[in-house]
Amino acid sequence: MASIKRQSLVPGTLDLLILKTLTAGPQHGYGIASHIKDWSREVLQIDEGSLYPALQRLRQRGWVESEWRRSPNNQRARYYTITAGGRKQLGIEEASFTETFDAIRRVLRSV
Amino acid sequence: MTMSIRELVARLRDRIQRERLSEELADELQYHRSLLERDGPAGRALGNATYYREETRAMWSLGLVDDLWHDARYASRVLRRDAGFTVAVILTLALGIGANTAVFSIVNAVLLRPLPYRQPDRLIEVSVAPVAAPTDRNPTSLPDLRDWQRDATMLDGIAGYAFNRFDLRGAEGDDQARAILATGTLYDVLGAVPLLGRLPRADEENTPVVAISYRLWQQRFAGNPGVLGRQLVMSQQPYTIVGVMPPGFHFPGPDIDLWTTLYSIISSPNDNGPNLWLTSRSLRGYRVLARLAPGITAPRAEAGLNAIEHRLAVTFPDDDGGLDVHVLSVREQALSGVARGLWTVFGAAALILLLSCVNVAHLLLERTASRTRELAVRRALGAHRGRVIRQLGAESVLLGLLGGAAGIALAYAAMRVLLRLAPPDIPRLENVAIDLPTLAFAVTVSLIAAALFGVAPAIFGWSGDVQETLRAQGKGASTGAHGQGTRALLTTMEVAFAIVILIAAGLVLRSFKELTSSNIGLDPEGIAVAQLTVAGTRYLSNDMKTQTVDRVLANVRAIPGVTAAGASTSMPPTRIQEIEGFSVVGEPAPEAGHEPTAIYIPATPAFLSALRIPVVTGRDFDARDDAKAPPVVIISRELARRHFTHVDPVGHQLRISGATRTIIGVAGDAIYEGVGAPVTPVVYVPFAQSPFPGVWLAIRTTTAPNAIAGQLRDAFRRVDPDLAVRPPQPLDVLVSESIVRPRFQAWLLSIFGGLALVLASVGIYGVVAYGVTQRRSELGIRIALGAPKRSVVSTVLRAGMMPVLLGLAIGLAVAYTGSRVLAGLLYGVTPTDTLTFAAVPLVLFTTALIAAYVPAHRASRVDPLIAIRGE
Repeated sequence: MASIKRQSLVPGTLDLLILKTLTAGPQHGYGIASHIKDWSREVLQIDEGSLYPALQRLRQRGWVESEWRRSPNNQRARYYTITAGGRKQLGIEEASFTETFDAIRRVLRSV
Repeated sequence: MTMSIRELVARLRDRIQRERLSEELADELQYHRSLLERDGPAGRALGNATYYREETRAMWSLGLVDDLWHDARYASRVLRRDAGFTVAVILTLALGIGANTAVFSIVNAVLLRPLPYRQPDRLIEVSVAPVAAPTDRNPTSLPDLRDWQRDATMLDGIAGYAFNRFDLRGAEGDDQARAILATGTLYDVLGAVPLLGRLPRADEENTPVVAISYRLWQQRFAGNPGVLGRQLVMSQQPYTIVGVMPPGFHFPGPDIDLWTTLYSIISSPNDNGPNLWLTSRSLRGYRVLARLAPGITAPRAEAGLNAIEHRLAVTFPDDDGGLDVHVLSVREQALSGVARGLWTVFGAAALILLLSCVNVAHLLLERTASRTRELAVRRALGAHRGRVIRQLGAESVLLGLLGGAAGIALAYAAMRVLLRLAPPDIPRLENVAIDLPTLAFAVTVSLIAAALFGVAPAIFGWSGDVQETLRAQGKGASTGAHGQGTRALLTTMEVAFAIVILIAAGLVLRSFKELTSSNIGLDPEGIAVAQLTVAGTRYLSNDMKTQTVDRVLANVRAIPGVTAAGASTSMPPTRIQEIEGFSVVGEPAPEAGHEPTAIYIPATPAFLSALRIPVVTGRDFDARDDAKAPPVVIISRELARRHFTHVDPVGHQLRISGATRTIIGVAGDAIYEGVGAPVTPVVYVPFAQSPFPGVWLAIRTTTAPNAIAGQLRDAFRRVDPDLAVRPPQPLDVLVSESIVRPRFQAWLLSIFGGLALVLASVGIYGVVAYGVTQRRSELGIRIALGAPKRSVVSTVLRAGMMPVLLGLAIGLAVAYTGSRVLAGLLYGVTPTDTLTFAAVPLVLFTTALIAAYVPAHRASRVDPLIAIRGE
């Protein structure tokens, strides 16, 4: 369940966004949230109540792994890495999202 | 949400290390916030950390399982807090569940568990009955059985068996035991598995071998496994013990201890030739057991056997004419007479359970009402409907299971009492135990009960407006018309259930009272009954049998305190040796199959007078009626009523059992077929003219019947030191033992009736009392405005009694239409007995009135000031 800041997230897309973010390299929770906020020009803001349950879910499904590391400012932070299974899942979700999104756009242009 | 196995395993792992994960998450969130703060106002306002944590923690839970665990813990806290309420509920439930569990353990052992034979549903009992009286089932003769055996292709085996009683003598003491004498194939047909050794084989029909019961093995041989191969002297003939049967093996009834062959019959030939029980087609002494061939139904087997029997009727019209063959499944045969009584008791127990559920439902409803605020707060804080209902459900289930546990304990105690009081002739009673099926039943019943009584509070716990409830600041719940209606409905149900149980109990009790006060035609007070067996080689001649019985009787009459003594082959209330067909000389001969029958009783002089069975016309037997005298007979009043309506029977003649006898007297009707059975014709003949190896002695004594045991032993032994003697039994005890089954039912149903009355009155009291509490301020205002006490009382009473009256009407209607199922259990009362149907509602109404009056009276003494102000 994605919660809202300015724009509600299309249901089911939070996992997609997290996985996509992680393809750029390991990242901690705050980093993931910042990445999504920046790249959506602050339209999509993910709060902790959605982000951390989602990360736990992805971990339990085996799509991400986590490990504690030192952050650049020398604080302990948990970094998430996408797994091979996660990449495969990302491929599936990306394809299906694009397909659905195109379909919706076609309908919106139809009349 | 569907979940893959992998995800489930991951969740389970997380669940186990939840504490560690939780700490890590706290660190992670801490770090997240520190970064948020660093990015300053460009970041955003801080949210609720606890909320985030909770949401994430949910990911490590096992969903429903964790929730249920949480619910159960919460429920147990709530129930502990209200200890009084909880105890009341558990006790109420324990009564209902305990009664059901105890009765179920009996029903399961006696009715539901399969019989201990191979494929018991393929076994049938075969009997013959006159065409004119199809319910008058009789055994068959050995020659007929052999003919059936040869020709019956639709059977996988057929065999005959007879009953006998043997004296057991030896170092282990004197005893008597009932035995089955079987044709060769019986034990193969039966397919039972012995505990030790084997059963007699088909080729041993004329061999002295015997299998003994578990009971005999324990009592006489102390369970010694070395008993196989040992000798057992049975009525002076040595037998070899070849097997021990398991406990609970009751073929065909619980009173059999020996399973043997035809040896005792074959080895005792008649004066001139083989034993008539082997050769005569008119001696119908063999019950028949058969196993259906694969694919053959019981009706087809019956048709096939009838075809054979009707062919035999052509060849032997005197013996086989006018008879039909009937088959009955062994299961039905074994349980006939038991099943209906047990199911009735079980039904009453089920109603008790419903009653206790209704009571508990009301208790819960009341408590839910007082918890409205708690529930409303939870809703206001965001609990959703399913969650609150589940919480209430968890409490109900927990209560149900606690009640179930208490019920099982109660059942365990109750069962021991039940078994002591239960009639010993109920088959397989010793298998009764709180076993796995019984426990499963108890748990299932507890959960069903929880579902039943949990429904109402779960619904009403949610209804109502949150805002309003919260605003009602501590006033407690004000019950709307809604709650009132539900309570009235509960009272109605309660009364309806109670009246059905009470009507059943009333009918069975009335019937039992009729039974105990029914005329048995004799005076059992002060009669000692003893058995005398004059069998074996020493007593082959008829004169020897008669003389021995006479000499024993003479010795018995000399015992101080004995005022009269006689002997006969049958003994009230239930011991019948023989039933014979007869005809009246001068009447047209009856058609084959339509011959009247009578209980045929060879009796010594003084037998009738000892029992005080009156000779109403003519004379009793005396010493003149010996073997050489003209054959005579005394008939019973019932026989006289049927065949000598307008004439004095004395001087007329009967043909019975191969002799033509002159009637010398008419005796009163005494019971031989059990207390409460319809009166049947009886003929008495002089024992000297029709001697028999086994007799019962009726000894009238002024001392206690048991007190003469020692002298009786002497009286027997002075005649023959080898005669077996067992202690005499008082006849009044035998009479009361013969009605132990109806007594047991009357007793059980009375207990259930009492329980129903208590539960119903407690329930009605509770409902009315609660109603009064709810209406305290209203009643207070009325009193303040000058309403007389009487009017307050009657207002409350009216509200309380309306649902009671409705319940009475519904319950009576149900009982009136349903009581027909009891017909087979009742003696001397109809299922719609007016007295019962008038008295029971009156009792219940009065009880309800008292239960309602107590709180109503209290309501009238409410102090108006306190009531109006009182919050």
